[in-house]
Amino acid sequence: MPRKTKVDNDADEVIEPIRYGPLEHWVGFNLRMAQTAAFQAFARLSQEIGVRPGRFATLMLIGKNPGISQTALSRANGRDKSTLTPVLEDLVRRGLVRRKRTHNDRRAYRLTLTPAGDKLLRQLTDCARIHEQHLDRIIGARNQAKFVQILRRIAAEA
Amino acid sequence: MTKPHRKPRRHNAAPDRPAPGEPPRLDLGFLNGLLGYMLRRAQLAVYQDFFRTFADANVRPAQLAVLAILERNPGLKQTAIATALGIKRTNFVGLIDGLEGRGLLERRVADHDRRSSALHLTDEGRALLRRLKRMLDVHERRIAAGLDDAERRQLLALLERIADISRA
Repeated sequence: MPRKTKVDNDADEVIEPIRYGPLEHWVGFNLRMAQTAAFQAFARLSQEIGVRPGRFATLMLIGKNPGISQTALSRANGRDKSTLTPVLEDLVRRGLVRRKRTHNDRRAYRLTLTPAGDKLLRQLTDCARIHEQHLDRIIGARNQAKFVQILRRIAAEA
Repeated sequence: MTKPHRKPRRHNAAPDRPAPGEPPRLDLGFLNGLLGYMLRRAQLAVYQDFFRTFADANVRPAQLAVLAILERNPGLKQTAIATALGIKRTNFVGLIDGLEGRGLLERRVADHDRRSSALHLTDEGRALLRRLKRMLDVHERRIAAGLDDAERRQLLALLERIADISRA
């Protein structure tokens, strides 16, 4: 199954289809390509309403679990703490998330959304609903549950 | 009868900090069951395994993809590979420079087109790729361990449909 590839370039260039070779059968590669395409589609939707698409999951987890600790958040999000820290710093700098030290443990933070963060979360949730309907149409209602189940297994096992 | 030895529970223990091995009881809200989110989670988990597997070889996923594509498409232009892999051109230049610096590929300026050079694997690049493919088999077996053949095929077909949304 050769993939079709569109190349946006000069008209004088002859475009030959690229042979993906063994990449076509690698789950990791296909997962990455699908995830990138899905995220770009979500990004286009959110840019239409003028918001940045990133950090939706992080905002959602904080919004639904106000006061969540950084440890619990990184575990829930499947990221280690070192990758989560710059994400949170970005959200704090943009005035979307508030970080408070706890009384018991001076090193631990409690995270909550600011009103601006709450508003952005609501806007992104609207985008995500439209985006999901779009994805559901692409993969077909019949496949949806099975697909999510397979992905969940990979997320848990890998 | 001896009392079971148990650590006294700290009163200030965070309520959302579960015992080790116990999943945190968190409200995932709308994320739960969201296809886009599960794609991301699966992809993150696969990347973590990738980086563990390939730590010694010092190879990132995009670098491996470039080497594998060049093996099948010798002489391909930089722009064509970047487009095929969905990598921004600005990030791609550094990636190619890195591989060239390690002697794994070389740029050859095409006679008819001075503006862009064609990429070729070196012998060293081919040798490394052979080794990487063996490591990749181990990595792939691990991430698809819970899937039977039918599920694996279904997964690949559905992922390909999603990957095509931007091309539609």
